[in-house]
Amino acid sequence: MIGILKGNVGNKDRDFFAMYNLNKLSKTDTPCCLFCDYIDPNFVLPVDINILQRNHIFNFDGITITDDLMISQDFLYATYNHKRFLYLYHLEWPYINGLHFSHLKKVLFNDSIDLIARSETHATLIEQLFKKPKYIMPEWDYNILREIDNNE
Amino acid sequence: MRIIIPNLAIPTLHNVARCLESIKNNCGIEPLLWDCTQKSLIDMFDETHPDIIFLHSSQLDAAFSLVSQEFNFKYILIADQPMPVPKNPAAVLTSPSSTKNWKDNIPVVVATDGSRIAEIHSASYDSTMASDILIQTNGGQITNDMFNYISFLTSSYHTKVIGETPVAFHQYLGKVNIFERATFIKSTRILIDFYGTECWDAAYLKVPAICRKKAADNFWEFNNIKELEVRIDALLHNEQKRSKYIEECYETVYNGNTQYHVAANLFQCINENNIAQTLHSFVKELQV
Repeated sequence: MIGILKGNVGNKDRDFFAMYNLNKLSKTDTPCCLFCDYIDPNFVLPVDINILQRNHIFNFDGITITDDLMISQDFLYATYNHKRFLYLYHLEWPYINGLHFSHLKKVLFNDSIDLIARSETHATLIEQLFKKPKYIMPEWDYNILREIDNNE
Repeated sequence: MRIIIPNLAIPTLHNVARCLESIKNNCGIEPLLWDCTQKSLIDMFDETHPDIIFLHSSQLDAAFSLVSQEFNFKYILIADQPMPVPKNPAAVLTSPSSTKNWKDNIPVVVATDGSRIAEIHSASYDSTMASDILIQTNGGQITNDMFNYISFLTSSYHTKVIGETPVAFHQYLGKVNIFERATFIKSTRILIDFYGTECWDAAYLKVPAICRKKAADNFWEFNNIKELEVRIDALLHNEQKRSKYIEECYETVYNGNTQYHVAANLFQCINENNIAQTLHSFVKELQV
């Protein structure tokens, strides 16, 4: 089972593509759910999957994926998860205020957290800076989500 | 002998403190950091009875006049220009540009750059931090000139950028502590030094550095992208040139360009020859 971890879901590109593909995934035999704090009432897509509060991630024993570098700090303590993936959707770390290398190191070099890149170009950069991404998933492609569920 | 160092944001003071800490058992000194935001000068004197104290010009107030009458101590003044003082300093520690402000009757020591050995000595290679090019942004604003160089380097080589000033490149990995900084330097193949201050540490760790500003005769500099490219390629692909350059820079560091040498000069000036000698011996023992 795949659980997607997010903070607030709103009309942002990565939330749009995530929800679009999760809705498609829900129509396959791969079970999935969303852990989040809040969904914007004006969000443009319907949400056809199960939604749980974010803190339930700590009791979840499936495969967890987040695309939020800040929220990925929670990952460190979500040890009950079967597998943890950080999807570096936007290469956003240079824009984090007061960024300290130790924050990146804790998550991105963590042996129990695997990385997912959005494209080959991203993957090359991520491998040079951190470690080799295990999967390349263009815009939350639900076929790759299914592949992850089958492989892991 | 008790030596008090105020915990002010002055790099030279921290460097002196680190050097003294590493030799304290060899020459019977007791270096203490004084948190001057928490404890007043008078309380500090009452509690510690210092033999030597470092004081910034802003700390020479009425309380200082009082303690200079009641206690017997030497002090090293950190200042850029002369000022009326109730007790003459044993020496003055000043910046290179302010040396000319001082007259001959007070020993003046210039706070020069040098390898901060006490911070970096135990650095080791770490494959997760490895790079071909390392850039540090600790020296303040990113100028347009610097931005262009970083842009070239990040697009042409396996580059990592670390430091206090953020730059909008994906290769920027944030601020680092002294241990991470040392490991990053040790794990890179070439350090690009835009401020002329980081090359000393790289040279000590036997990592070649190329400087934007001249630091010493032996260090390679660059004035344009073409020149930088030629020098980088030489260091990445010509092993003989690389080894020779590394050895030359390492020798330059050992010939008086470490913070131990700066601290030793300071203590020599105030006739504390035993401490100066111990600092010299200590740094000599570290030489590989």
